[in-house]
Amino acid sequence: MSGEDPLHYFRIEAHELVGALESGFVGYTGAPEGLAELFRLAHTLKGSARIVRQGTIADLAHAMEDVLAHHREHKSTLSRAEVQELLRVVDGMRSALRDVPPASEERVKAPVAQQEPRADQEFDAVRVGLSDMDALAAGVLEAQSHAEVLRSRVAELGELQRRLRTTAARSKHVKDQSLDDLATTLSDQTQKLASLADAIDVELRRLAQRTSVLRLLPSSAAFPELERAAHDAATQTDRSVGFVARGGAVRIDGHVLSAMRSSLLHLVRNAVAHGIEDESERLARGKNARGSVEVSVERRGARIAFTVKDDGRGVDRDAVRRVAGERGFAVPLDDDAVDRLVFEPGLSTAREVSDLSGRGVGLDAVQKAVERVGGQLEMRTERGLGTSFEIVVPVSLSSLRALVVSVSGRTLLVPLDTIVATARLEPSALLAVSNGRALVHEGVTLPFRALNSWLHPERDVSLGRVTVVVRTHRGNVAIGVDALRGTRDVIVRPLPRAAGASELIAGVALDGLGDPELVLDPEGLLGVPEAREKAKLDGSARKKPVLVIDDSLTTRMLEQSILDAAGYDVDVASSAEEGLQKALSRAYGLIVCDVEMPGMNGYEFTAETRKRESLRKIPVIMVTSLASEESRRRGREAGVSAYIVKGEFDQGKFLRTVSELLP
Amino acid sequence: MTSELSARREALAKAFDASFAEPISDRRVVTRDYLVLRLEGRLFAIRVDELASVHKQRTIAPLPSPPRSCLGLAGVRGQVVVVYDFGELVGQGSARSGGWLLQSKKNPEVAFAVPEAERYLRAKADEFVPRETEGDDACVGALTEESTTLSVISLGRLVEAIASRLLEPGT
Repeated sequence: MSGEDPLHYFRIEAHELVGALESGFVGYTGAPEGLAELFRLAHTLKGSARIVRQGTIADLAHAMEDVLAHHREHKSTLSRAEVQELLRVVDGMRSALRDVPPASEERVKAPVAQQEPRADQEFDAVRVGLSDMDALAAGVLEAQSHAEVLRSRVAELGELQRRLRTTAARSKHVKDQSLDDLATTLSDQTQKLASLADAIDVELRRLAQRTSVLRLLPSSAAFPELERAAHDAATQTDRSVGFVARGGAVRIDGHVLSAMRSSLLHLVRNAVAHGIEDESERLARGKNARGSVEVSVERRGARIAFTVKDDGRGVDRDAVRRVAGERGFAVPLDDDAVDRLVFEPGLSTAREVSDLSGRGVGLDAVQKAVERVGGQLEMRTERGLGTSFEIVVPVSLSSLRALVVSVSGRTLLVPLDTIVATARLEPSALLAVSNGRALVHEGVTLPFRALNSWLHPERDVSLGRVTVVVRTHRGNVAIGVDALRGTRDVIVRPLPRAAGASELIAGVALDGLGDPELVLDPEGLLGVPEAREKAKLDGSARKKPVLVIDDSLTTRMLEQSILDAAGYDVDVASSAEEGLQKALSRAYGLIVCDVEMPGMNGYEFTAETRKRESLRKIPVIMVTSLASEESRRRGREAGVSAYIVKGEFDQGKFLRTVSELLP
Repeated sequence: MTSELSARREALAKAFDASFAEPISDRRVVTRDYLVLRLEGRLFAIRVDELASVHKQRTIAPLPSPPRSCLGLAGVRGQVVVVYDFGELVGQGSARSGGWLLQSKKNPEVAFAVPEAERYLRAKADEFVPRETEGDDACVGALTEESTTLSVISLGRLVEAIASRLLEPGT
């Protein structure tokens, strides 16, 4: 087709050049080399457009070249107004490019077919529409189906050849070699055909894998347009705004990126126009004069999170309440409910935004667009500090680099970007806690999940030989696996609906043989207690609660968080008196107590509990900064079960002591 | 020899022309194609037009908390399918090892594992005896073949049952 359509290469090149010009102007810093590059791009575009008789584009490029040439000669820099004007020229070029006739229409009369690309104009990339990629993927699938039929026909031929041999061997009448020769020839040909069918099969699988990859776009493909939107909105509102984009390497289905494009544009424009304050206001608030809008893309299991965050004024909730009242909405007192109001259509018109001096415009449209693809939109805002919008959408396809692990002879994939560390699993580092097991890793106690027991809850299986520490939004988790098998780039597709929902599975990938491998969703790990231990929890083995008594808030919170993380039910008291009252009102299994506290001290508290029938048998662990032998002796006399010095505090030892003493 | 051939050609041409003049027969035999399965000695028939494809059973990746009768996931022509145990669904043993995968046409994301696909059967429409009262299982009737009776199972019904079961709380 390209041989018959002389505009084919021009369209590709012009798109690239116009995109590069746009990025160049948006990111223009005044550096002479930047100006020279822009001049070169405009000049190249002009030349190419002239060749294919695209006069409008050539004229626009020529006009741009004139402005740039002037500054290049005078070693001066483009003014902000000039940059803005030149960006409008870029828009004009893009518009003219849309009018370039498609292949089947007008033909250019110039003898361009003979033209060779210039040496400095190598084409190493092509643009392909998503629909074309979908068609290609469907074609590959169809070819795979035909290849499978071919393989079964080859198998039938093999069967035929075996029957022929058997017949030849049994035949009493045909003694000549012809039947044997025929069987041998058939066997040879069948083997050759089988090898060919296998090779086609392998190649088609590779092709299918490559096609899947090609359907994915790096998120960074959306960034230039968002940066341009931020730049334009900043110019229109006379604000100084820096644009930062993160997570551009995350590759996602082009359809998802396309569906989110207008929502992200909307949020970025809103962030600049209604979030970022003008320079004087920012300086008065003690902020940097230049505002910041940050767009980030992050993979979360089977979902992708897009975040648009600004460091502007945040939502004025009082203003939202006022306008909500004026518009006849029920006016909530609760901040969360107020935040939800900004997504209401009635509060989302341009005029109301200025009234609110904050958010609201068109957010209902954004929300609807997000819901259409099964996603969720959330806003977080803090007055004076900024606002962030998070769109979380499910993805039909995404690619990731995974750590391949082996569990009970099966392969599982763990997203590499969630992995904090891997280490040999030392059984001595494992602790039994109330909701399963915990692992002490580099001095920190982490919830532990053995993937073996997760896959085979009915069997008594090993905890694994290797531990992989993964990051989740609720903290790190250690998982036990049998072995590590290296890393691999995989295409992840969602779990089919007929498989039911599993919070532990982010999706499924196909290996080189076309067999599925599950991709673990680390976010789901904390929601599920270790399968085998869960059964215990449901029975009588549930541990009694623990009471922590300490007048130091830091110590109290530290001990509480360690015990919480290990799955214990914990209450706290800030004095021995309060502790005694709590101990009398709930059946605790263990008390962790400080010594030096205002009022009743730890020794007195322990002695008091030993006098009372209902509390006498509850073990007390004393955690104190008093390290002398005299203090330990006093503790023993008062009736404490264990004595831990704060200066020697070790999470693992503390949890082991708790585990041993708690009934 | 030549006259013999001419006569034969003439006869064939007449027969061909005459076939257009004949009234359309109302005695056309309507047939339906089935795949016959054997599970623990009992025969079942599946309508071929309910099948998207048939494959030799591939490696099945088990799921951590699978729905009832779900064996796991398998790859079929670059597509991931959820494999359900046909035997368990129809209350007739299990196909956990070996056998075949029958991909559903109604929902190509679902395939059924069967231990043995015995043969292909073309049966006349009147050989199918529909079930008099509709039950809550996937058996839609029976086929009688000489002295043998085959239960006809609707894969579409099985797919519907799986879908509605997934909507039940706690599954």
